[in-house]
Formats: sequence, C-alpha cells, structure tokens
Amino acid sequence: MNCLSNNKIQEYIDNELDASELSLVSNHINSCEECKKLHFELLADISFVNDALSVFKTEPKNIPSIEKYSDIKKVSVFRMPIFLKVSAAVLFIAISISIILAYYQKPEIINENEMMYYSLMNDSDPNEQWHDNQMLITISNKKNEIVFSFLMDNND
Amino acid sequence: MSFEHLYNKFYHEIFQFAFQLSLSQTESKDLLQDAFMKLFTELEKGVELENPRAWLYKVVLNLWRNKYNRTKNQKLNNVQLNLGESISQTPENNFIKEEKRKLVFDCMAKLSTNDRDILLLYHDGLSYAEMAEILDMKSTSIGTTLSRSIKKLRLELKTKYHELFE
Repeated sequence: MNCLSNNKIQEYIDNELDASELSLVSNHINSCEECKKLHFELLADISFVNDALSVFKTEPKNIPSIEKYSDIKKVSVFRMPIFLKVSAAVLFIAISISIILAYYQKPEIINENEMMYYSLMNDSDPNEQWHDNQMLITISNKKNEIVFSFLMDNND
Repeated sequence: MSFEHLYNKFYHEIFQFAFQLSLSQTESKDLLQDAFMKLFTELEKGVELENPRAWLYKVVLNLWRNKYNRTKNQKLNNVQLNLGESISQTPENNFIKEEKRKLVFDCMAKLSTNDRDILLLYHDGLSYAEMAEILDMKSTSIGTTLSRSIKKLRLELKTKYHELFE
C-alpha cells in the first residue's frame, strides 16, 4: 500500500473511515515510519488549533426565557378609516380659508381728503369745544321720576 | 420534540458558535433570536427535523453570511468585544483573553470563509456528514478541506503570534 495522504489520516483521526478502510489505514500507520510521523504532526496541529479556538469559549449564561404567544395580551388599536382622515383634512383647510376671508381687512390707504382733514385738525383750537358748552340740569324725586329739567346754554 | 426542549438544549452551544462567528455578544444574540424564530415557525408548520442541531448551525451560519456580506465594508476590527463577561475574572486575565481572542479572530479572518467555517464546525465536534450538509459540500471532500484549513490556520498562528500560545 502506498503512503497515506493528509486527508486519509485526518479521516482516520476523526473516525470517519469505513470498517474495511480503517483496518488498512491503521495497519499502515503502525508499519510506516513516515506516515506515523505525519499522523503525530496532524494530531499536534489539531490540538494546537483546538487550543487556539477555545479562547472563544464564554461562560454559560442564563438562557433568556421565552414568552408564549398566548401569554401576550392582544391590544386592539383603533385606526381611523382613510375617508375620515381625508375629510377632516379638507374640513380643516376650508374652515381656515373661510376664517381668513371673513376677517381679512384691506390695508388702509390714506387718501387726499383725509390728509386735508388732519391738517385742519392741527390748525384748530384745542379748547374750541369749551366755547359752546351746554349743561343739562335735572331734578328727580325719590321715585327717580324726573320732575324738572333745565338746559343751560353757554353759547353766545 | 418540542420547541422549548430544543431551545434549552442547544441555546449555549449555538450561542457559542454565533459568538465565534461574530465576536460580539449582541450580534450573536440577534443571530440566535432569528435562528430560533425560524425553528419555531418550522415546527409550527409541522416539519420534522432529522437533525435539529445541524439545522440550527446551518441557519445561524447562513444568517451570519448574509449579514456579513451586507456589511462587508465594515472592518472586522470594529466589532465590539467582550460585553458582559463574568465578574469573577480579574481585569488582567480578561484583557489577556480579549487580546488572544482578537488575535485568533484576525488569523481566522485571513482564511477563506469556507475554511473558517469548517474549522469552527470541527471545533464544535460535528460529524463529517453534518458538516457536508451545513456547508453544501460533498462529504468526501470534507477531510481534504479540513486538513488543509488546519494547516493554514496553524501556519498563520505560528508565524505571527506564537508567543501567545507557548
């Protein structure tokens, strides 16, 4: 029998050979020096790699508990139908537009006549109203009925 | 077999595997949740799984591959390390362990994905038939790939970081 390949020895180490092959390979490894050496090398490699990979081991933690679906409460969610949403939006826009139209005031433009008026006001005498004062004197009884009234006119 | 039984039986093992793939506790928790969700829906459908352990390995591996391909541009060095490790260890020990992890992870990253995955599966003690099923390979070629990837990883480790493991 020829010398063994790496993969045959690998399979031999991992116990993956058939019964017929197994005896052949084991006999060969025992008899052939080179294959014995290869076998030891591979074993060393495997233990080295396994050592290196064992750094990833983490300590076992608590397994998170699972919640069954039946335990979860169903929550009903109210969803507005679309036509309601659309009509609400349209209503809102219509109301806001009507409010704007109702309360809209045109900016006041001062015309020429008003300018005249203001100037006249400035020229007038501030005490003018006292010149034509009128005074109304009323006398009432206990029942609040007007008994007598008298209009005093200060105008000349 | 009920879902809860499988869940309690394989949680640690699959978590370990996911942690080896991603080197991040949060990431592996996410992977596990997705994998067990899939298992649950599968069992609800009434599918009989011949080998639930291998099935879970396969699902986790595929989920991780999809995720990794999506975020390929992110550097592997950016993964979060060592969240929620036990308090009993001293910080120094923790630090050394973390460094070792990072080194081995870097060495693993230099191998091809198939080599890396086959090594991880081999380390977890899966049989050749199971590995072949998980990786979609012929069971006859497993031995060859395995011995080759072991040689490669050993070379990577010995040439660069031998001082840590002696």
